[in-house]
Amino acid sequence: MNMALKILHSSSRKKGNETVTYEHGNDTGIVQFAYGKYPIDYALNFEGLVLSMDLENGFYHYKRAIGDWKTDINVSIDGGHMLIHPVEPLNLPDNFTDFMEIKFNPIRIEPSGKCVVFLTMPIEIGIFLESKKGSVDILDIVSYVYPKYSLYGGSNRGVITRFHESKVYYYPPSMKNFEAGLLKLEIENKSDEWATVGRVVIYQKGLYLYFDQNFVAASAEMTIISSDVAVVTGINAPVCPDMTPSNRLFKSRKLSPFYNVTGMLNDTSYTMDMGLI
Amino acid sequence: MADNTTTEILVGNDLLDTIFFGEITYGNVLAAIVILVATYVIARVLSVVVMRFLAGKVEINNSTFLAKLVRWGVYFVGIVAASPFLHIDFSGLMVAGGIVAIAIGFASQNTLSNFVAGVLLMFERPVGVGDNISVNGTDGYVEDIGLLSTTVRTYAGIYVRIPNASMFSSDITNYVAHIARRFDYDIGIRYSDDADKAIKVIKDVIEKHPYALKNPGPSVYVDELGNNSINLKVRIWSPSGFWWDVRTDMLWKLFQALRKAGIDIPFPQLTLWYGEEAPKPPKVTKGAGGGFSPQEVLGKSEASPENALKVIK
Repeated sequence: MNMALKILHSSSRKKGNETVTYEHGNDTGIVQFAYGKYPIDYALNFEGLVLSMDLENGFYHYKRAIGDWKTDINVSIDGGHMLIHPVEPLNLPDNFTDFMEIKFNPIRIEPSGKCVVFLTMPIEIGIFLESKKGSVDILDIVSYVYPKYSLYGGSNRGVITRFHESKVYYYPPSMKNFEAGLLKLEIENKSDEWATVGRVVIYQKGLYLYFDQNFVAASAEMTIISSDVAVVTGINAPVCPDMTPSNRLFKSRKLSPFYNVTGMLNDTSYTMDMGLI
Repeated sequence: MADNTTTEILVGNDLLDTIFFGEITYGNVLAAIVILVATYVIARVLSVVVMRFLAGKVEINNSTFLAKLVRWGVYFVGIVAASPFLHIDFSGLMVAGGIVAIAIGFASQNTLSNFVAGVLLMFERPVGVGDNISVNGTDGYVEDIGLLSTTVRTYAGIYVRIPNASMFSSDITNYVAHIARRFDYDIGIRYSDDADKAIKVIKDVIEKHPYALKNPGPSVYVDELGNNSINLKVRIWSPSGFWWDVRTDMLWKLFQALRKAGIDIPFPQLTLWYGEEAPKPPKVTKGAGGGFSPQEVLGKSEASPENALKVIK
């Protein structure tokens, strides 16, 4: 079943608002969100998310509403584009962690064994503004998914994580690309003993999101060193060809310079040394 | 030692033995210059090393100060080492300086102890800027950690300066040193309410709050059968930086959810017995065992004192 997604799209300021209807869909019949690059005065109405950028008195006025959650922002920009991209789900309600944790049904892996599984991961939607000179900055972040946080490890040396539970899929499942993304996880047990894996913790810098018209995806590999220690590394490669890389938020975010001192920014890996289940 | 070695090196070189000024030869000047240049380079390198070593461990102002202290210390040593070549005798100055130093030391004993405590605090780091702490009866946020004192802004916005010596020797409670912490609620429900249902309602509310951590999970259980209520204990883990927000936000939501589910929080009540009036025998119910029926004892009785009196009578 192919359902129509109606998008209000004004391509030219002088012409006024012109309504154009785009058709989105895939074989599963799920209505998918249209990520991409749009004119600065773009307007959108999709699954309860309503946003618009209107020119008023020489200023752009950005309005966004999803349910009762609303935002109004005045923007001073001379033309440019609006980019709507999926972003790592680490920003709502506040950005206070750089780690995403996905819990799944435990998988038992033999010594020196390898497997590839697909997991779902939450998605947040970033609205970026791109100036004519190409400077890009984040304007707004929304999400259809209710966030939940957790603690990986103990309170003394653990990390707060954005928590998500997923089933284990051996083939990519169909999903709504505005609610969930796909994480392709390659697990390799390099230890000499059987290992059980039931969760994966990914560092923000290792989350390379790609999207196309049907889904959002990221890849990571998990190398098990011992039965309760593994290194999770993000892979900067699309799951399928012709996918578009998402704008990354960590470039826009002003992180503490001490992150550089400790080398965290130079590494897309995270060592899970506080258990794998 | 340095003087003899330098002299041996310079022997046989006429130019270096040539008098430059007074008893100072060109060789002496050259040796002094070499020592001073080496001192400069070593001081710069050491200050960079100190800055890098302290990066992330202490505040940038303090690490800069300590790096400067190290640099000027090396300069001092270098100047003292080079002075014999220039026939400058610091011995008298050193004696006088030593005496002055002792006098200053006695006079500024507290200041020095604060300084040493400040340096030790920087390395031990029991608190950091922005932390939520309690020390010596002062609760608030750490505004600054200086070499001599630590500044705290209380929750009422009052500026409090705590000398580092006092800070170092006191019991410090840092509420946010660990990344997550637990807080508790005690919630009483009526005896007529279903505790299992109340626990489910409470858990549902907790589950919906983003900052009530999934792991360690919340704990909700019947803690006590109190005089007026069944007391439930609710234990929730939250990120340390948000625990107070979560605590204040969730209590009202829990109350609303419980009330919506028909579960109420009882008022304290007192049943009075009058000595002249003997209590009537309990009404026998159809069920075995006699006594009060659950509805009579647990029903609406705790909600209103009149009902309680009626049941007892």
